[in-house]
Amino acid sequence: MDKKKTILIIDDDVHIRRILEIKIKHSGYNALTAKNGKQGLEIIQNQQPDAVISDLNMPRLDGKELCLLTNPMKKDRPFLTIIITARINPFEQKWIDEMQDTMFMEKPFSPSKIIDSLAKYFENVTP
Amino acid sequence: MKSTGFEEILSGFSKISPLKFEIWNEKGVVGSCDLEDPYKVRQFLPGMAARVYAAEDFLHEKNPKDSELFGLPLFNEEDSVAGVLLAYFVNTRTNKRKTDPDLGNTKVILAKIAGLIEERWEMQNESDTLISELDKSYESLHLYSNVATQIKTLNFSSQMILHLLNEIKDNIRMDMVFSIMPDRPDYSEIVCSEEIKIKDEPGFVASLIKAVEKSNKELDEGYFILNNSADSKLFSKLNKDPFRFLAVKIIHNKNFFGWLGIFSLNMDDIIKRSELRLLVSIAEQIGVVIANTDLYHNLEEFGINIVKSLIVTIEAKDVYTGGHSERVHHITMLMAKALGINEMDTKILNWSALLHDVGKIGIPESILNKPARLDDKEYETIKNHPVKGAEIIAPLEYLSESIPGVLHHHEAYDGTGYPSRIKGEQIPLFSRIISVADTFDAITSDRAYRKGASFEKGHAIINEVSGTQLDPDLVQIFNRIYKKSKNRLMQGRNI
Repeated sequence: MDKKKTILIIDDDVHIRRILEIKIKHSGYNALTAKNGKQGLEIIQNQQPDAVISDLNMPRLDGKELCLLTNPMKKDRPFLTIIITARINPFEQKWIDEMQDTMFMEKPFSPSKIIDSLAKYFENVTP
Repeated sequence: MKSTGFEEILSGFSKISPLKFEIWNEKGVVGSCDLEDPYKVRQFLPGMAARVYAAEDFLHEKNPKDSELFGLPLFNEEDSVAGVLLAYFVNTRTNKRKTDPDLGNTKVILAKIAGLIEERWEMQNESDTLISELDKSYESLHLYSNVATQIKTLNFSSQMILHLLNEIKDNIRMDMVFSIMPDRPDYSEIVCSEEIKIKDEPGFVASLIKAVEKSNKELDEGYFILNNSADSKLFSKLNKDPFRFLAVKIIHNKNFFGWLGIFSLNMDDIIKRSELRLLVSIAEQIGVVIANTDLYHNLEEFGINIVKSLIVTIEAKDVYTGGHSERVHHITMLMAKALGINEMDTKILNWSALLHDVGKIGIPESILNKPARLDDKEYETIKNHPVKGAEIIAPLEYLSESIPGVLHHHEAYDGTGYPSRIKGEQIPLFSRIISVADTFDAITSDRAYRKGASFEKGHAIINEVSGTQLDPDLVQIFNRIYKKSKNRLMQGRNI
């Protein structure tokens, strides 16, 4: 089924939210946004997006906690999580590896590369 | 025309108000319309919308079904009609509209709503433009960051250049991106998009650069822009279809290394300032890296040349064993190859072998070239040369790994050697290898006090002391080389 995919953007910076929102809409997806991890978690639980793009450092539930809480959901209904962070250090990399369908991107990120990663994921996942 | 969010509000409001509102554009109603239409008034809306579009002014119409239609045009930033705000009302027994003789109130309300919608559009457009600029900035930042990281590692290679050119091509959507460095063919690369159909890309790029250098423009600024090849006789000859391109010099400290360029067949766009800045910045970074890499290589070479001078001093000092270090080096290298030692270790062994006798510098020539046997005191002095050699090399960081090979090249496999009396595998491998080569050359070359023995004799003695003085496994390797090509051992003799 070719239903439009929904992507959730979680970031406390309004500009990043807007850039990604526009890029995602132009690429043919639906976009949802959240200002912090708590809002983001609610949206994930209630609306079940097909992918989540989240900043790592946020007030009220950061990206890492969000991943830990939502990873179990991925067993039945997988979705991609992209975590954006300033620098990937080995400690961060470790916990990411243990998450399902989760990846890192370093800042400054390339908005186009995010779109490419989404496309690649959906290509491989949807039967 | 984009949705403003007002449609939902108006729709909800319409459900509770006698006056119903809808926003229309040429395609129809914007947003969904789920208003009830018991009196079938909505059939008149398309016509009304068209008339308001045409009139570009407020219209009010009374309809047969005792309905009234109102319409107000919505203007965009360019002051043309981008949509229409429609309102309608049905006069029924229970639903009489308050008399509004000159329609003043209705017009005012509609105008205010229309104003809000127009303002919202304008802000959205402005915001979207800004966001689009931000997006481009992010991409550039990402590219810069990548370049900076790669440059920090000084890991400059043709791979890196290719990667860089591809990033530029994807980032600013070019048909071709190239780097041309005449003295560094490794760093000269061209990447093209799939659509481009130029047959001989290197040739074409070369002709482009030639034309740039030929053209009259003074290249003080360090770059050359051409937004349309058709404007120049010289350039239009190079390609059938018109093209635009930018070439930036790769310079550092007044040293010219080459060109970095972008090329496009898409004539709907021009080379932008931002693209020029990006390329200039990247070219500067590349210039820095190349200059640094060159510096590094020069330093390395300088170090190597110093070491070579050291070797010459050993040879100069010793009349009778002139060429000894080189011969030992030669045999050592043959053994290293036979043992399959890797490139890096071979380098280390290389220096150990060449410098193994550098410690003899401190020994008086009266002892070195004495035509008779040495007394105990003189012998002790000679025995000190491996330690002395290690001391001499110690300050040269570049040679630090070669020190053990020098220090222990006179140890014996059975532990009776000097200076440390270590035995077997305790002796560093490189020292053991040099011992074999050193012993063989010592026996077979002329000395102050005797002539050199024949190759056969040397070979025999090597095998006699296998296990005591020399490592038996390495002696076997030596035997293999000797058997295979005695002549190869001869090389370096006739110096």
